[in-house]
Amino acid sequence: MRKSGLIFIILLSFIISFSFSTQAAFNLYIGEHLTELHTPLKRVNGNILVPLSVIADYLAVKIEMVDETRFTMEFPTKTITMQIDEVNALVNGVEQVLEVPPMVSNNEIMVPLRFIADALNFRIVFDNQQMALVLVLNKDMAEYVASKLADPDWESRPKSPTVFTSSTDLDEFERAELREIVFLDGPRSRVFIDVQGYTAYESVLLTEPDRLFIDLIGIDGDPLPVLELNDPIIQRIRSSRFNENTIRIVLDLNEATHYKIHRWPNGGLEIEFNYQIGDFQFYRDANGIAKLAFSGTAQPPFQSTSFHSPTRLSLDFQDTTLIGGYKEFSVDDSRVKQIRVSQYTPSVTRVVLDLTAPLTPVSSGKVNDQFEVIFFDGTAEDYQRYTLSQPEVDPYIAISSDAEEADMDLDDSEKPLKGRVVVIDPGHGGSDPGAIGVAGTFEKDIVLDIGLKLGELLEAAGARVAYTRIDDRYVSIFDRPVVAEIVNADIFISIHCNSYEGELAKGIETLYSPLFLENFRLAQIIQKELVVELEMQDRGLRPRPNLHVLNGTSMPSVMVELGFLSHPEEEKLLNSSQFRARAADALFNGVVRYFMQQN
Amino acid sequence: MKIKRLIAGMILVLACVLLIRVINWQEPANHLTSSQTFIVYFASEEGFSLVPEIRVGEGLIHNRLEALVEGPRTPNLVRVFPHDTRIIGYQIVDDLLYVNFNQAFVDNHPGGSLGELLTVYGLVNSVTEDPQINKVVILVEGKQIPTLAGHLDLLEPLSRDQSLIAKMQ
Ligand SMILES: [Zn+2]
Repeated sequence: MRKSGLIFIILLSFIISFSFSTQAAFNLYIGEHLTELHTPLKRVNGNILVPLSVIADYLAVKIEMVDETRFTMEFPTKTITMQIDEVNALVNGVEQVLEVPPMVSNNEIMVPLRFIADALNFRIVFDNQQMALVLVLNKDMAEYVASKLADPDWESRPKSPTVFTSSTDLDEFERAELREIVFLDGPRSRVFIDVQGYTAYESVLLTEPDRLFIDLIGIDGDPLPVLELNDPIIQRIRSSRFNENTIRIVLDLNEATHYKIHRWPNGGLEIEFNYQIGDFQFYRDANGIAKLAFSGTAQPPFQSTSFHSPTRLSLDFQDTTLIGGYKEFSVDDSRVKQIRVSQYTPSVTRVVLDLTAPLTPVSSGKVNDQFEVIFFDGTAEDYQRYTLSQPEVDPYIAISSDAEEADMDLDDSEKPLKGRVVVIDPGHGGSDPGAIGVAGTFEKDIVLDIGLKLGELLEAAGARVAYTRIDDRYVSIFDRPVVAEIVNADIFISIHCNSYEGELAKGIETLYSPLFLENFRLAQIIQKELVVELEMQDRGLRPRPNLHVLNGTSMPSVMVELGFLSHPEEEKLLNSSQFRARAADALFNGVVRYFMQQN
Repeated sequence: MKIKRLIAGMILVLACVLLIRVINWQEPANHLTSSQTFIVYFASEEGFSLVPEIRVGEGLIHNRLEALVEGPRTPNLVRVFPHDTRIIGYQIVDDLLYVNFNQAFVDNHPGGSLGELLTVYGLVNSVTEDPQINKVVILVEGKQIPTLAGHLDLLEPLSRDQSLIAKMQ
């Protein structure tokens, strides 16, 4: 920890509270109308209760008392019956259970707003500026309400005063309650504090020892047990009751790291830490390709900008904390003179490359423990021209010359894929069936069969094959690329079948991450093999920057979509074992051709 | 009623001045002028791209989401949200839009990477037409989901993907 003289850094973020725990009166809009609330809104177990009279007056709903405690609300499409202090309700005669029963306050019946909104397809939103809840009506209802309220004869509820009683005594809004603290899966260190209801909070980042305090203010409930974590940034999470009003949550950190707190719409808080990066180095690999290597806790996204006079390139790594502070070093290279690395804002690390000739970042990836940005020697326009001019090799020459040799008795060392490592990723599995065909075929079953068939062919040709799954089990998209990293694969092939609401969609497409030129090459060869062998519509190559299994792998990778289960004829094909064997053959031929052209 | 609205308006202006950093919930949609139009995206018949549809109204997030739930009015376009999708709520935090869907958004999704892409980017591209919105987080019943149909990573906020939009002829 180098912190030049500073004993600790305090970062305070005060967030304006919109806690329900105060006496502040909340407004309620129904559609466009601001309602007059004679009895304020109540909140019980996270449910908002509104006076029944307001529902009657502003939604033009006819209310009828069935007996002293039971009442019906007649909406144009639905009739809802509820009973004071009873959780059972009837919606069009069908029994449903309420989270919170209707209650009496101030001699008014209070009904749960969320339940009514759900039953009638209305939305509830909260307007923080006006401190108001807004019940958003659909078009039909809005028109109905407008016409009813314009009618002078409209009478919504019994006029005679009734005295209601309830066994429950209602306070004003309940206070928020701490429920759970969860460490969230994903590429960044994130923690979710599950709070029922809205709470104010303050946070402080302290060093020596490094830790983050988060005080939840105006909160009930007990502190939670200590959570020990195996995370690059967070060691453990503790909580304790700081005072009657406040629970303090302490995150013990390996290193003080900038963070953001997001409030989730349902009341919880999410703490998201920056990626940590550092140890920047520039070099050219054996092929003369320019690379910027750095270490980090995960691959951060970056934004690049080119500048003229003087020529320079800046890379802004988003949501990162720079380890080791400002650094400036000169580079012995034909295009790069000097590199400067700084913490540009608390959450952005900026790397500036001072150039003598243009350089364009074209891809990023992970090699061993390091991350890399890979550059093209030239401008972005040069690069585009370069990728488009890549010659398509005639698909049949390479393999047929090899096939002749293959006829002879080969020993192991002559097998065409000897020494190659291929990872096969059959999509979905277990609880995730993937797409479901019109006749009920599951994508997960089809792609597993093709994947296993492909694996057999590759193994017979001398390749080492690893699978992300070999049976019907669930594997998350975050774990799949890890398999490829562990076995240090040469290529990664993800196998899927497609589906679409439009009935016309059919054919084969191959998806690849456009960041790597090699992905494009692999995709191009495999797509060509597939459409020629399977004689299906060629939907082409689809550059897809946002598929996790393709982004998480550092080797060339593709995702093949072998036809549409939503298309009845293609579903029939995919159900045929013979077709699946041909698909595996085509994929196999593509893999062999790819490796041959690489040599 | 009118006076109350006026007072509410004055409080609103005061609140804007006083609050240093406000988490902005959207305003209720109550001032629509018919001369305005906005764009939402639906999918093409064969699923090759997202196609803009022009709607009359103010380009509020509320109106865009409602249009997506309703589905396309242009013949031959395909809806991007699964059937019975409902939006429970939404919230704008800085340039980030959280959209909270009901369970049908996941349960009724037909699957497939193409369907997943067009659903997710139909939403993201439609709401990022609003210059205030840069990124979108999808919630289902209030919780973030790792993926919708097993291909896209939904734990990271989603940015606009211009490459999916059909090129104007
Ligand atoms: Zn799939």
